[in-house]
Amino acid sequence: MILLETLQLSVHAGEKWACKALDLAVSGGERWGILGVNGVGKTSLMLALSGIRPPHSGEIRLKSKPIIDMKRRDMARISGMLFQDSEDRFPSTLLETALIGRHPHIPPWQRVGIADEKAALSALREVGLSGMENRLASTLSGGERRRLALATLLVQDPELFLLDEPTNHLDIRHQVEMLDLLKKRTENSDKAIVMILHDPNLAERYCDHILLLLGDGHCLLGKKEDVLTESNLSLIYHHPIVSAKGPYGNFFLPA
Amino acid sequence: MNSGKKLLFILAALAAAGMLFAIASGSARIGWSDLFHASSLDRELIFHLRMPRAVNAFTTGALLALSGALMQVLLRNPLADPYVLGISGGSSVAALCAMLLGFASVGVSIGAFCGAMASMFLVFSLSGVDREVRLLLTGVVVASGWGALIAMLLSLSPESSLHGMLYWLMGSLDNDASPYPGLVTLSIGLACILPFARDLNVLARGEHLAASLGVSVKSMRVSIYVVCALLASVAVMTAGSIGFVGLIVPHGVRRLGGHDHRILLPGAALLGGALLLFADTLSRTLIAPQQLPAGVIMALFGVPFFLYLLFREP
Repeated sequence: MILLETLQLSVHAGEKWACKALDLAVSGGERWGILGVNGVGKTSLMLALSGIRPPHSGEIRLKSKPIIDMKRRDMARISGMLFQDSEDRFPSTLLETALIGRHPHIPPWQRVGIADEKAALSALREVGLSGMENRLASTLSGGERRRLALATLLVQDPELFLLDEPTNHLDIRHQVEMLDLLKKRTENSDKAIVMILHDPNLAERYCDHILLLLGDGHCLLGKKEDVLTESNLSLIYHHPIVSAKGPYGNFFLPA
Repeated sequence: MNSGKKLLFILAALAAAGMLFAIASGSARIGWSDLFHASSLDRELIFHLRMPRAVNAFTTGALLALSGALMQVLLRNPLADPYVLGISGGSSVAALCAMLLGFASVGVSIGAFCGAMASMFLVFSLSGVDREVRLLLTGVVVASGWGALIAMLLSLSPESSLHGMLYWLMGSLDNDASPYPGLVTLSIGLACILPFARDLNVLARGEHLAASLGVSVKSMRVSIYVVCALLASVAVMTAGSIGFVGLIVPHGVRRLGGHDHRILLPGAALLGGALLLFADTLSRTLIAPQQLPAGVIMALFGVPFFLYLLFREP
């Protein structure tokens, strides 16, 4: 089933076009990687896909409903987003932070229950932050904060995961662990991932579909094998890229 | 959840203690035993003088603390406070104008509310959210502008009303203001905002995240804004501009573990009420029979505290 669909979607990123007339269809079970140079508008596209910033033109549909006609709460039960940075200006414990992921699932007049708390604790365990649930989020390192944000998203448990540079601040081990975790959540299920990545090697290893933003509003999209190639990557990064066979498919290196 | 309830219970006990302390202290001594077979004069003193004043002190403190807590979420800045950002000042100017133009108390109240709304709009639109230094500077500059306008209005007002106006401006509960407007606003304010406490928890972590978690950010912001101005302006109407309650109290409740707005909001109301009760009782007993404005006592606590918050290690 198609989870996310865009029809002739055009999104501005400052003065430039992130994409023009983009037709994208993301089905359950798929993992899409978005790649492009810095400032090309990957985040702007993501904010449009999550319904936070209205696009310049075109339509976005979640489960074939135009998001413009949807209530925020209903949207939040289908799609959830991991943002590039998380804010914690007010003190809040890890458990309290993870619990806000349940927000769209709890009716306005209902209390937060034991089941909600259990979901939050198990998400903290999944990202390797168990036993710290009463610590303040502000005492965490950058990487731990990233995992806490992921835990909040896991608690939200959307069908469509929109991830803006999920591996930001993470060391190699945690990058792989995080993406393994997300892969497990979506594999053989109706859930899907759309994520912005900077490392073509992670895209090769974890994605089955790729969207490349060229910088002039044009996009290349399709199955990983067709799109993630030496020549396409050299084109978008404006730098020659070479590839070699590795244990997890191709790996790419700047020449 | 349990620890939150415990915290609320302790704060409620503190507020009750403040209330008893306020009613029991004053130049005329009333022994606890006398309360039960009090002479008519003592009864009069308690039920018509000290009680309404104590209720006013409590509601004013609660209104200011709630207003501060809401403003902090709205601006996502833990240093926001209706006094520091010039909201109380704008409210006072509009109320003074209404008084000078000869409006009755309803007109003055509406004036105070409009003044608070206008001042918030001015400060927020000039500074933009997310810019801590610019927000505080804008607030301080706007507040001093209101200060100048207040001085101008005072110099234009008739001698006979000058002392009363001045005393009101300094933040004093030494007036015969009716306790009902404050009580009603506080109850309505809490009833309106408490059902959305969970949304505030999300909103405090950023508007994008809140939107992605299903909060309708825009309408939420507008409602908080209006409730905030309403609470602050009723506090100003009751007791002039008293500073720092909105700053110290939410911070204190957070430090005591009340991060969750379902605890933080009622907790701030209780602690704010208790704090102003103690401050007001001190203000009328420290150098009795002379009275100090409660705003002065609050500023003596508030200024060093604000500086501490501003300069502490992030």
